[in-house]
Amino acid sequence: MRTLQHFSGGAVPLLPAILRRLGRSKAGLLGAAIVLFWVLAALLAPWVAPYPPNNLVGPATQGPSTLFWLGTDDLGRDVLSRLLWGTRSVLLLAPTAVLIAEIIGAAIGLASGYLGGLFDQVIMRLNDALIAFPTILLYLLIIAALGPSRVNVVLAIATASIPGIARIVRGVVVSLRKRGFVLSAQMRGESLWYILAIELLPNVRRPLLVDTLLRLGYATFSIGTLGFLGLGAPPPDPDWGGMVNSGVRWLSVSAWMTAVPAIALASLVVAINLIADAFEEGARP
Amino acid sequence: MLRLTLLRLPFFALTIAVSSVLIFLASEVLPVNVGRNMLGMFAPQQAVDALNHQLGTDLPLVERYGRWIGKAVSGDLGNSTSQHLPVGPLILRRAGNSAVLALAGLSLILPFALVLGTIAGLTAGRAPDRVISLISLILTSTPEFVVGVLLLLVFAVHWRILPGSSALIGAASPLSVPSKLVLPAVTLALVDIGYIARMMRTSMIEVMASPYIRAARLRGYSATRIVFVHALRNALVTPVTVIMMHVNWLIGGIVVIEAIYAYPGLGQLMLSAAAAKDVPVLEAGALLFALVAAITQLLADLLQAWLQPRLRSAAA
Repeated sequence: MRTLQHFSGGAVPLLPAILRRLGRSKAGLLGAAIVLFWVLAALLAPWVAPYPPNNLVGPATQGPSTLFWLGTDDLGRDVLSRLLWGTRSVLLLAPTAVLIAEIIGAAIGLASGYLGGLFDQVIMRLNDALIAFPTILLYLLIIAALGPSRVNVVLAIATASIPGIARIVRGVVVSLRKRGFVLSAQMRGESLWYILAIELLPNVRRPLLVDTLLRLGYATFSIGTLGFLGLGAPPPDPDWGGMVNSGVRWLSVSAWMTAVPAIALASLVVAINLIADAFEEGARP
Repeated sequence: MLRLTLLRLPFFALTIAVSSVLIFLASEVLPVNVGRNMLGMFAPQQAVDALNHQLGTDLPLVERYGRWIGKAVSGDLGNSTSQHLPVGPLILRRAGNSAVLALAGLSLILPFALVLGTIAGLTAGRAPDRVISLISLILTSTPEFVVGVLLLLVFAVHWRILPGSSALIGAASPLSVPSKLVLPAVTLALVDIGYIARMMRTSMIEVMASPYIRAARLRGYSATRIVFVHALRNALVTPVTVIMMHVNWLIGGIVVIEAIYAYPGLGQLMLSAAAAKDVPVLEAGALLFALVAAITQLLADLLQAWLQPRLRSAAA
């Protein structure tokens, strides 16, 4: 196996090698298949969904039938159509939130770790205090203050993720700050931006990649939870967590409208974590 | 040990300070006219202004923060604007119910997670480990509300052996109706067992690979003796502190579970306060949760240093 001398001294596999190992992990492949299934569902929703997701198309709280494959909800909307359209929401919001958080968190971590001194001390103490603050409260306060919407869901999840990412990146940067390639860049008179973006950033790629995968799973988990608590995307647009929220009081009448989106969400989070797990396993030296 | 405690205290204070500012800012952004909210739509504007002045909601932000935190420290948390009750007793009673739920959950989590994690760690890479690890991953990845919905379907709707709602009449204690505690506690446990079991597994694998265990093997001690006498105690260090470090995770679970089962805890109180824009309850509840989280994490830090002496000098 091709390896690369890692900054920490141990040999770690290169990305293609990790992907090859990922391909050999049955659990990882299963995860990839499930994610692929939902991505296809999201892409094809306009063509595959039998009904418009927000239209009242039949009698309420029906079980599965040839007309409504997964039944209808409490208002008589088609559960399958809402499930398919709802896939778009979660598959768009989770990566957006994680991407924003990774960019801001990496920037803070790079600057804090490289500059050091008082700046680093202040930023990291605040950072650690934020990590100690319960995530669910952060969500609750942000969304109570700004109102439930897709944008605010992304904002809340990104905000809650930034401190953790900043801490990971800072840790790597601190270990590299005094290394030859950084010192020689300083000697050449390179600008701060050059050193941060060209010399240091590539070295945090691997820890960030593993972190991104884990966070994607957690962001998906959180988006579902926020939807369930009534803090997610406002009705009537389909949202998996929101579907469970409005369906749960009808549980004794018809379970389909509640159980279907609940299981769909769980399958997506499990799948993402299976990939993250296999990836972490493959990335181990 | 004392030195370490003293070193950690400023950070603890900072955590509380940052949390309180965060809570205050977030809840003060709420576009609420408190006086209007309390007096209703048809109250005269003068009365609303007078009440706002009396409550101090027309003061500058920094001054309001100073007043709020000063009062909170002296135990005066104000009155709920939606329930018209003093906030202090209200949140304490609800927090007590949440604590009952947390303890019931933990009493299920610990034995299962530690046993499953130990078995997985000792059989790393073989069939029992693979099965336990996969189940753990599925359990940790399944949101509380999904587990809750599935448990409700099976036990409350299909078999009808447990109550579907854990709502209590008046100020009744959850312990007076134990059947209402079962599903919330099991839901909390199922989600966290997976996580703690994974920690225990990793910890066990590390300990079993350490030189002193190899030495014990070479001396010919029995496998049972090695596991129970030598390995287990050291392997427990990580999971025990991890459980305390991840009190945030537990709090998140509790809030969601209380919402699923209408369990009258602090989380449910805060969710309804958020919906009713009841700022005093929201602020006080968040502050209490943040305080509990910070104290637990401080204790976890100290406990870890106490269990692993070499960390003491490294940290100090």
